[in-house]
Amino acid sequence: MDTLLHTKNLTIHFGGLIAVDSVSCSMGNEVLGLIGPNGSGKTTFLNLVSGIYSSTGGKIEFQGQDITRLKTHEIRSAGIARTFQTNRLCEKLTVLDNMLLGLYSKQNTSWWKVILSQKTHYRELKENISTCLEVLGYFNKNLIDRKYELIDTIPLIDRRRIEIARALVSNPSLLLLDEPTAGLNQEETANIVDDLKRVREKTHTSIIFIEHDMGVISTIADRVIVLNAGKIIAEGSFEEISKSEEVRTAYLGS
Amino acid sequence: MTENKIYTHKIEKLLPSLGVVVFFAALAVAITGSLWSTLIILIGMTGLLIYGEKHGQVDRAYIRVEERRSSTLTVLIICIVLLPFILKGNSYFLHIAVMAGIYAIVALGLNFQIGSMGQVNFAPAAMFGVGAYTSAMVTVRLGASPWIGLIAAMIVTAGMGIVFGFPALKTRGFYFSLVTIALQTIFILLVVNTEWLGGPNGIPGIPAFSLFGQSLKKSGMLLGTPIPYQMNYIYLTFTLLLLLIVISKRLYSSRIGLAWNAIEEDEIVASTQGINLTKVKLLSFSIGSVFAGIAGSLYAHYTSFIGVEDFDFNKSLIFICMVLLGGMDNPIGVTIGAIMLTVIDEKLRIFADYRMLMYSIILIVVLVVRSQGLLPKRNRKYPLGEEN
Amino acid sequence: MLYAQILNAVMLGCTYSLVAIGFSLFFGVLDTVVFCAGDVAIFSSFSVVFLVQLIGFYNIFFGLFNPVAALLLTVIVAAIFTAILMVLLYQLVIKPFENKSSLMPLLSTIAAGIALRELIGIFFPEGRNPRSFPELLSNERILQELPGISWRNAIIIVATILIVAILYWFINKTKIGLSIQAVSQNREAATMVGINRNLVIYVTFIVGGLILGFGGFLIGSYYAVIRFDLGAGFGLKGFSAAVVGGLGNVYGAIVGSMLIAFAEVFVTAYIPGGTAYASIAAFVLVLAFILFKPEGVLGNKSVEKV
Ligand SMILES: Nc1ncnc2c1ncn2[C@@H]1O[C@H](COP(=O)(O)OP(=O)(O)OP(=O)(O)O)[C@@H](O)[C@H]1O
Ligand SMILES: [Mg+2]
Repeated sequence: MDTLLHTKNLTIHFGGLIAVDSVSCSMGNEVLGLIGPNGSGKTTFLNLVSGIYSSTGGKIEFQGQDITRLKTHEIRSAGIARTFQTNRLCEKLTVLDNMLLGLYSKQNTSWWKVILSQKTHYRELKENISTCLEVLGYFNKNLIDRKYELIDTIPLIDRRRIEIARALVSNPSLLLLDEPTAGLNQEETANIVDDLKRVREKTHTSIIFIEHDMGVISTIADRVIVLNAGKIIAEGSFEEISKSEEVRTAYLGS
Repeated sequence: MTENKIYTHKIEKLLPSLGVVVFFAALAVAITGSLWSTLIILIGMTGLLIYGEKHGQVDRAYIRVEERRSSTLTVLIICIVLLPFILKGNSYFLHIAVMAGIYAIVALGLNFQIGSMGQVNFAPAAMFGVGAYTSAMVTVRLGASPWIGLIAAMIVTAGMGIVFGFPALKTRGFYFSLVTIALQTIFILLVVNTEWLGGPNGIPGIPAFSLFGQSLKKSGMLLGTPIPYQMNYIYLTFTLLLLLIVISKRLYSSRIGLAWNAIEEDEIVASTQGINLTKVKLLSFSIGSVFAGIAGSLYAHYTSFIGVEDFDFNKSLIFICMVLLGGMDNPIGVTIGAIMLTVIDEKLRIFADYRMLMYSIILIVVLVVRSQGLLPKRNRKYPLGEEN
Repeated sequence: MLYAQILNAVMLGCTYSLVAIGFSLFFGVLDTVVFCAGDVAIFSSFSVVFLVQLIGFYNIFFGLFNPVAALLLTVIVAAIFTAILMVLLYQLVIKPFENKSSLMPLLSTIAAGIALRELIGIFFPEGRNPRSFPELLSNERILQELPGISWRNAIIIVATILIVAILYWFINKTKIGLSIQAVSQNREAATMVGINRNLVIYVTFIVGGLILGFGGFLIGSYYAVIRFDLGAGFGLKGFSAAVVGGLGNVYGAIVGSMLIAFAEVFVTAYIPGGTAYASIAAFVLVLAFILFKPEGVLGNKSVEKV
C-alpha cells in the first residue's frame, strides 16, 4: 500500500497542555477512523494536518512531500480538504457560492484577467458551476434547485452535506471530516453515512473520519486509530481496537 | 402568446432604460432645485428603493437590466452625455456633479475593504490625499503632464495600499480600525509639517488635464451657447466612474470577490479553501487605493488647489457613510449613496455648522434602521449553466 | 530639565489615563470599543464650565459652604451628568447592536462622539471658540523650593491615584464589582452562574461615566483652555493607551497612558522640531504594539481556538 499521509512524532502544546503528543502514523488509500474521548486531541490533529496550527515538533508528509511548514491554503492546493466540527459554512453566501469557494484552489483566472475580460472567466465559471452541481447531486438532488438560497435557510443535515461537498468538489486526495454527524439524529446520521459510502465508491478519495458513534465507525472505517490525551493508544481494525483493554479504560475511566 | 402579452412584454423590456432616465431626471431636479425639492427627491428615492427591495421589485429590475444590458448601457451613456445640458449649463450645478463622480470613485474603492471584506478602513481620505498630492507634486514640482500625474498617483497609491493593508494581515476588527485611524492622523500630521508638501497652506496652481492639445479648463461653445469647462470634467469623471463600476462588478462576481466575502465571514475557513489570505487581502487594499488615487488625481487637476483639510478624518467618515448608506458590497448602491450624500452636502452648504452633525446622525440612523444600506448586496446569480 | 519633562509626562499621562480606563472598562464587559469616551470626558469639562459660569452654581454654593465643598459638589454634579449621558449613549447607540457585527457599535459610537462634539459646538454659547476653564484648582506652588508642583498638579495626580484606588476597591471588594470582573473574563460562564449581565452593564456604564466625568474635570483644569473638539484627540489617545496597556485591563490602561505620555513629552523635548512629531510618535508606538504585541503590556496572549 502506498503511503498517502505519514506523520512522525507530531506534537503540539498550548502552554503546558500537550494536545497532540508524538503521534506517528501512516495511512494509504483508505477510510481511517479517528476516535478518542473528548479533549483527546482529535480536532487538534486535523488542525495540524490542515495547517491551521503549526506543530511544535515532528513532521507531516503528504504524498512524499514534507508539508509540515506549508500554509493552510498551500495544503488545500496540495490536495487535503477538510470540514469542521461545528458547521462552518459562509452563512451570508448562497449554497452555490459556498461550493464555488471549494473550487477556489482549482481556478486560475487571475484578478487582472477578470478585470480585462469576462469571457475566459465566464467559461471557467461555467465549468466550475457544473462541477459544483454534480458534486452536490451526489448528496442531495434537492440542493441543486436550492443553489441560490442562503445557507441559513438550509436544514442542518444538508449543511453538513454541503460542507462535505465543498471539501470534495476540488477532488482532493485526502478528505478530513471532523464529526460530520455531530448534532444529527439517528436517521440523519445513517443518511450521511450512506452518502459517504457512495462518495467513497465513486471517487476513491481517502478519508480521515472523526466520530463518536461507534456504530458509524464500525460500518465505514477500514482502520481505526484511538487517541487519548494526545497519544495513540491503539490502532487497527475496529474489531481489534474494540477488544483493547486500554481503549475501554480510556473511554470509561476518564 | 396573445397580443396583449407581447405588448406588456415590450414595455417591461423598456423599463430599465426608463429607470435610468427617471434616475437622471430626479438627479437633475435634486441638483438644480431648491433645498426642499432636493430633500423630497432624496426621501422619495430612499422610499422607493426600500419599498422595491421589500417587494422584490429591485430583484426583478436587476434581471431586466441583465436581459437588456446593451440598451440600458446606451441610455445610460446618452444620459451622461446630456447631463451638462440637463443641469442647465450652470457651473455650480456641474461642479456638484463632478464632485459626486469623484467621491463615488473613492467610495467604490473603499467598498472593497468595508463592503466586501468587512474591514472598516478609516483612512480612505488619506489615500485620496496620497493620490491628489502625488499627482500635484509630479505636475507642479516636476512639470510633468497631468496624465503622467494620474499614472504616478495610481502607482503610488497601489504601493501605499499595500502599506495600509499590511496591518490587516495581522489584526482585524477594532485593532485594525485603530491602525487606520492612526495612519489617517499620521498622514495629516506629516503633510501639515512638511514644507515641501505645502504644509498647512496646501498646493496652489495645479495644472488642468488637457486632451488633444486642449485644456479641459477651457469653456466650450456648443450651438452658440457657452458651456462651462466643468462639462469636460463631467465627461472625464463619469467615463472613469463607469469603467470603475464595471471593474468593481466584475471583481464582485469573480472568485476574488467571493474570496473577500469568505474572508469577511471566517478567515480560517477561507484559508482552508485554498485562499491565500495575504495576497487576497492586500489586493483589496491595493485596488481600492488605486481607485482613491485616481479620484485624488482627478480632484487635484480639477480644483487646481489642494489642502490637507480636504483629506482629513471627517472626510474619511463621509466616505464610510456613503458606502454604508448606499449598500455594502454593491457597486451600484455605493455609487448611488455617494451621489446622494454629495448632493445633499452641497445643498446644505448654508448650514455648514451642522454638516458633521448631519453625517453622524445619518450614520447612526442607517446603522440602527437599515444596516444593509439602501441597495443591499445581491446574492450572486450566474447567468450560465442554466437550463431555462 | 529632565525633572520637568518627567513631571510633564506624568501629568499628561494622568489626563489620558482616566479616559483610557473608561475604554478598558467598557471593553471588558461588552467586547466593544466605545469610541465616544473622549468626547464624553470633554462633555464633562463643558458641564463644569456650564455649572460655574452660566448659572453661577459654584458661586451660590461658595456662599453657603466652604470653597472645597462647593468645588466638590460642582465636580460631582458634572460627573453625574456625564454618567447619565453615558447610560443614554449605551441605550441609543450600543444596545441596538448587541449580537451584531462588532464593527457596528464601533461606527455608531464614533458617530455619536462626533454628534456630541458638534452639539456642544452648536448649542453651547460660543461653543466653537476655545473656552477658558475656570481656575478651580490653584496654580500656586505648594513649596517654593519645588518648581512645577503646583496645587493644581498635585491635586490632579492625587485625584487620579484616588480614583484608581476607589475603582480597585470597587472592582475587587464589592459584589457588583466582582460581577463586572466575572463578565469581563467569561461572559457565558458569568451568565451561567446567575450574574445579571444587564445590571452589570448598566453599573459599568455608570461607573465609567463617573470616571470620565472626573477625567473631564481634571483635563479642563490641566489645560486651562478647552475646545469642543478636544474629545476626538483624547478619545484617540485614550483608546491607544488602553490598547498599549492591554485592552480590557484597567491597570494596563494606566501603564499605556504613561507610556504614550512619556513618548510624546520626550519626543517634543529632545528631538529638534519635535513638537510636530509628538503625536506621530505616539501613534507609531500604538502601531508597533498592535502589530507586534497586540495583547498589550498587561494583557494575556490567547491563541484563537478553531
Ligand atoms: N488553540 C488552543 N489553545 C489552547 N488549548 C487548545 C487549543 N486547541 C485545543 N486545545 C486543547 O487541546 C485539547 C484537545 O482538544 P481537541 O479539540 O483536539 O479535542 P477533541 O479530541 O477534538 O475533542 P472533542 O471530541 O470534544 O471534539 C483540549 O484540552 C483543548 O482544550
Ligand atoms: Mg473535536
